[in-house]
Amino acid sequence: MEPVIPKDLPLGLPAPFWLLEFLLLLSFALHIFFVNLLLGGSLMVLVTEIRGLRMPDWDRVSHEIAKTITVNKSLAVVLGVAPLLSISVLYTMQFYTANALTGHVWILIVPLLIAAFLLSYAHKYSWDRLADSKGVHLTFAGGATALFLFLPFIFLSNINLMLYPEHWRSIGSFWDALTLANVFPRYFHFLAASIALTGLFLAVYFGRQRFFASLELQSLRREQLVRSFYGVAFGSTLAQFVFGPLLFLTLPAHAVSTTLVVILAVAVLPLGGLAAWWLWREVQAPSPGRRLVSIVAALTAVISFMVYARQEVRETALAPHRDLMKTRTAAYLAEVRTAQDYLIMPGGLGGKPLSVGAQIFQRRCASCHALDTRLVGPPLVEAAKSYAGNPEGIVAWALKPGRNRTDYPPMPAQEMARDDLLQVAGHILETTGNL
Amino acid sequence: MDLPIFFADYFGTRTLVGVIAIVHVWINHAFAVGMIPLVVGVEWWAHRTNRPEWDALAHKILGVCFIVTTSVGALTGVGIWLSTALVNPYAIGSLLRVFYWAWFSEWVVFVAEVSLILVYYLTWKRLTGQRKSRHIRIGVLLGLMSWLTMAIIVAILGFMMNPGSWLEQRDLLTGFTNPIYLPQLLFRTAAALTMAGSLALALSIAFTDRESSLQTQAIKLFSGWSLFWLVPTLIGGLAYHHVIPQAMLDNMPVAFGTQAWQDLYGKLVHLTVLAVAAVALFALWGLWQPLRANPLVWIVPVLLLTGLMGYFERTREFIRKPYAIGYYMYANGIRVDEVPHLVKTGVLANCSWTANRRVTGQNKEGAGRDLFMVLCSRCHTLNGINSVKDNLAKMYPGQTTWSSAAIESFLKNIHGARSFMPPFIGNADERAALAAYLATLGNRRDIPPPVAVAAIDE
Repeated sequence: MEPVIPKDLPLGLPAPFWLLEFLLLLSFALHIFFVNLLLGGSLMVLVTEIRGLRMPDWDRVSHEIAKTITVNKSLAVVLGVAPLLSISVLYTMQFYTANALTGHVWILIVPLLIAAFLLSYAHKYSWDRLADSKGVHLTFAGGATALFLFLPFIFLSNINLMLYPEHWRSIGSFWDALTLANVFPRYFHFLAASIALTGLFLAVYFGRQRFFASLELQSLRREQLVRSFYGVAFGSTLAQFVFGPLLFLTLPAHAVSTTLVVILAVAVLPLGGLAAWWLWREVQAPSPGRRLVSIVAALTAVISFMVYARQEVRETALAPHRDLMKTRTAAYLAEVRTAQDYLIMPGGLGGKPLSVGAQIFQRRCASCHALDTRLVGPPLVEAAKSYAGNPEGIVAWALKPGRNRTDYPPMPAQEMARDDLLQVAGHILETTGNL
Repeated sequence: MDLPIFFADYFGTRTLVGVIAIVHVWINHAFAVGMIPLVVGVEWWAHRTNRPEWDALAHKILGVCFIVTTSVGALTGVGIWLSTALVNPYAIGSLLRVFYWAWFSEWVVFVAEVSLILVYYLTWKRLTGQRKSRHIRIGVLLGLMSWLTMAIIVAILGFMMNPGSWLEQRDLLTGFTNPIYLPQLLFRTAAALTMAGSLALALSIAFTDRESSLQTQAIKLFSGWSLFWLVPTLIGGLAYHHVIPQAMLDNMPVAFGTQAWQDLYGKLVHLTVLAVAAVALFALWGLWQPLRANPLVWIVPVLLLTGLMGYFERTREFIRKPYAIGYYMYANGIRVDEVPHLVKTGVLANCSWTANRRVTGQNKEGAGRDLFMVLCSRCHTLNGINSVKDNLAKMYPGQTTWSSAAIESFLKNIHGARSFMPPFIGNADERAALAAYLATLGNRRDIPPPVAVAAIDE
């Protein structure tokens, strides 16, 4: 289908493009880091609590993970505002188009996230009280996790849809937007990243000796626990070698650039492979944690390159569209300027000049009163009958209207200068032949 | 014109923004801006006079605020962005281009505020004994940050209501120097502190044992707190009411009051005085007879103040009309400078998402419906809240067949008749088409068009 080329807002960007781009990427990286921990943490809480049904140590671990969600989710939200502002400024028309097309679901982000947050609070704060009714307690965690799993689809579908102006006309809803080829690969890519990052985070979190000792677990050993979190991180990092290529292959041609291919082939793949290898070594190590710094460094580099690659895809897809928009906007603004002299004067162009009373009448009264037909108010020929030769009577009525006829809505008081009203009254009496 | 049109036929797009925004403002004022100073004050007092039961009560009250502000509060704040971008993307997009750095700074303060409330709440039971004063200092800083985010936002709101400044300088400073700024900030600050008092009272009823001495003292303390802050609330409200007309006159080139505005504005002063008086009576009652009331009674002042706040926001929003941005952009997202071009070439010819791109002999009603969506649907629904159908029915009482000619004359001078509505924008054919379409609504129910649509005549 033909792409939609909107006219841009005729206002410059508040800062150079590169600076806004930099702020967008930086704040987005911070935002998505905590989103990953929130989603991954929520899944881990659920899994570990279920394991805890048989082995109470895991229940204790689960409770500790749940406590981290409180902080991570608040930071995820607050850090999300800056990228939202930045993308709205940089890609105003594309982003807002995607928002409007998926609007009814897009706005559901607010109530659904509120519900998810309240559920996770209910879950965290009822841990001891609901210790004997785990079914109810797990329902809270399950509900929150289900919502956290669903919500990324809303964001993803928008951020994806905005890239493809040629698809816009065929997308009438959020559900249509989900059918674009790379939404699901993107989703699973993101999901695996969340689990990997959370696994690593929890390996560090529970690896702290004093903290671990304070948990007073019965049989679960620190090394054992840390190794299993490394295992989670390893498994999901490995899965990225499936989801990553799948995402790459489903990208439309006009979103792929040489730079992207180079970034992925030269940086992301080898660094990701290295990180996966080190993670595997940690899983096998008797006392894990020695390669932590290397793993964090490699993954930080991978994430930075991926954030950049994401922007590279966006720019490759949208730069030509932006140029078309620029041309169309310039042409439109030129038309707008030439039309400035086309302003229509009261009374129309070229006719005989209107009296002052007629001009005011046109502006103030004509929307409700016509000469001999009923509009909102009665026709003038009817109304003026009782004021023959009495313009002051019309003025008095207009200043403080009464209500003579119940089949008409009441007339509002006209707060105008008495002289102006007198002119209007003169005009009315003249045109109705009651002067 | 170039963005797909988001529409909610029952609720109305305006109501959507209104509900989200008012919930957010209520939580921001009552649970954060007003409550943090109260909680920190109680914590400090309990620490100095060694009253652990008061410390525990303050912690519980803070717990409620923590949960509410970090869920409903934070998300409705984001919701204002999401909903305004759906409802009036042109206005919010333009404001963002100009105020990006103001909002960015506000965001930095907001990050600090959220981080501080996390630290303040989660370390309450850890920073005790000798380290208590450090905890109290965190609370003071948190209170300052909460207030600061509000002070910045009020400037941006003030700017939006200050017509002309956009065209002249597009400078946030005019938001701070706007005559409305200080009265509005005073009103909001004092109202927030009062609301926090009544809310803390209602919460402490739930958190203390019935008729315990702690409950009695809490009722007295928080009644006194509310009573104290009512005075500046009243002064701020009246000062705000006093400075509005100036802004109003500037904003309305056709300076004659409409009934709707007169009602809204006239009632503001009565409502403020009534609500303040009622809350004062409750507070006095609390001071003298703390236990002679059903506990549920203490919810009434909370509700009264919430209602007052909502009404205040509604009035404030109304001042802007017919503009979304004073003298620059109408409420329907069309810029003032575009009007002559649109009158000359027609609106539809410049739209990207309507089924009809010009009015022909065959498509009059379809084109009229497109025009309704482009020109009217930001404020009016078809069949729901503030529907165009109900409003027309009020103008033609008792009639089921509406005259298209009568509606057309009304459209011709619509801004003259209702100064808060923009003028009709479009060519004469389009005006006739919109009138013809509206006239058909007298005896049938129509549904809005789908959001994504390809042009029929392309």
